[in-house]
Amino acid sequence: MNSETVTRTGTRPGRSKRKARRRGTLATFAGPGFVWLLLFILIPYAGILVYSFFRTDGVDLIPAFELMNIERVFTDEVVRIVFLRTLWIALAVTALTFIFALPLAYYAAFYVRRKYLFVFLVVIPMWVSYIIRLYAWRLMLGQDGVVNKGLTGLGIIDEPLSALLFSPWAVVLTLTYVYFPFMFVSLFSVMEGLDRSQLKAAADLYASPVRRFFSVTLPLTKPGIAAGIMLVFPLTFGDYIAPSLVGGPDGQMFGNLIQNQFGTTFNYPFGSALALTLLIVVLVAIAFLERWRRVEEVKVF
Amino acid sequence: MGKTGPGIHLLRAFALLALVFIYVPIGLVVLFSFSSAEISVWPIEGLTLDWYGELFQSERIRDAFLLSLRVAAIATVVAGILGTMLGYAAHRFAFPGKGLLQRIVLMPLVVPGIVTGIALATMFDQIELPLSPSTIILGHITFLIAVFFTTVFARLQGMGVELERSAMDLGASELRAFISVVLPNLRLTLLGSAVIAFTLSFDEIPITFFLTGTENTVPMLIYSFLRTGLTPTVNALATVSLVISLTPIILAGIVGLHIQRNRRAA
Repeated sequence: MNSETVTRTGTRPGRSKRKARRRGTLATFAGPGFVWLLLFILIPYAGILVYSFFRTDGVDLIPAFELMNIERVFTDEVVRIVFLRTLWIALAVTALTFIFALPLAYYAAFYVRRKYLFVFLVVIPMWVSYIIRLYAWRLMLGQDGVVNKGLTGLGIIDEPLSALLFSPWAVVLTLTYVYFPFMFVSLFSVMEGLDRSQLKAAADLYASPVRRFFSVTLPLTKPGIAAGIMLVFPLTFGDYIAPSLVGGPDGQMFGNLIQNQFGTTFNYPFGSALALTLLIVVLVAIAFLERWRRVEEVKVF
Repeated sequence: MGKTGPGIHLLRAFALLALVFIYVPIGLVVLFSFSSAEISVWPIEGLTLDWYGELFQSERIRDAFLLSLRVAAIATVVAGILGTMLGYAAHRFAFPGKGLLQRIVLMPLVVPGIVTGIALATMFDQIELPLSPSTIILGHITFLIAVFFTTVFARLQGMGVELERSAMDLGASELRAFISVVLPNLRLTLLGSAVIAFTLSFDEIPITFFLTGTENTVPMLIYSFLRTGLTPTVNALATVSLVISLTPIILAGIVGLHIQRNRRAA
């Protein structure tokens, strides 16, 4: 049924009038949201871009067009070290969440009878406050923490390890714990929707379940893998709370560098240039993953 | 898929270990909140409710809870209205830049919180808007719009446009069709999104960090406790805040599982 064929009493507005009214309705619905996005997303993000070229005089921002800050991002020794550290931490966390979530998602999708209950149990921690999950690992890894007590109790180590906390490794472990539910959900939702008959055909073709998993199930899960990485990598790369609580001086990440420019040294332009760098890294990673996912889809079908 | 082979035992063992790994750290916080010792060390010697008593006496903590609840409530409502309207517009109308709009809405969820946080903080600084609960609320609305936009848009796309069309064919105006036909169909979606949005706001820290003036939200208060020194009250504070964020999600989950079961039974 469409409005052209309906007869009803009263005047039907002409085509142009109706179009104008539709435009009015569109403005009513989209207008407030548009304005909000403009004011609180586009302008602030554009601000970061603009400030990257500014100068500072004490704490004052001086409008300018200088490449000094961008240049410093590429030449500063500290920036280089912290960037590389952040990169390996983010890659390690992404890899670990994958290794951890993959068997779990596979198990949930294919072997659990009450799978939604199981998934629910696995993702509940995702809804426990981020800061509480960090705090929990502070308790776990501390000098008198459960891990140290457990290891000494089992006789694996004699003295409690003080290096468990306040190291890059503590950041990796903590962030793996914090972000793995995202990877799990991404993998599970794709695995769950896989065509069972296709997998059954594969079962007939391949001798071992292991080969079946690596030759059929895993490649078909690629969209989920891409989605999982797309969530975990940016979140980890941009994290600054975890390193500031469990990282120690050797575990500071790129976000902490940005944070310092806004909290301690008040160098907004340099901080903006760093934030811009972070933004670009994350967006490039996402664009790359989106492409990877699409290319794979073409190959499969 | 067969349920035989030695692999399945390995998988089951792994899943069990994974659940232990997931729940032990959180369980520990809850457990320590009842420990009578001044420092949170293993094993727990005695039990007490003292830390909860201290929690309710502390004005600082009470203020933080009130602020967090206020921020989450206001931000959820405003973002709900804006996000729903925007989602409806994107579903119902074709306009230039729609694809771009969808990307921009999602930016605060995709971009690391620190970038959004400093971007907003710098702007507020430039227009000389002092940091206060209001700036936190503005920030939270900004990223929560994405939650409502995405869920509402997805739900409407699944529904199609027939319902509104029919209503309008019967003489309803666009606005009327939206209110009496579209909105009732969005009830569950909006409820679910509101639960998610409220929890996200209640727990948010990376953006909030840069928008906080002198008044702390609960996560910011816990953060500052962790930076400056621990008291056993933190365990109690964390436990109460955990209950607040988990209750709506668990309720929603139980409802969801129920629907799932009924659907299978039908």
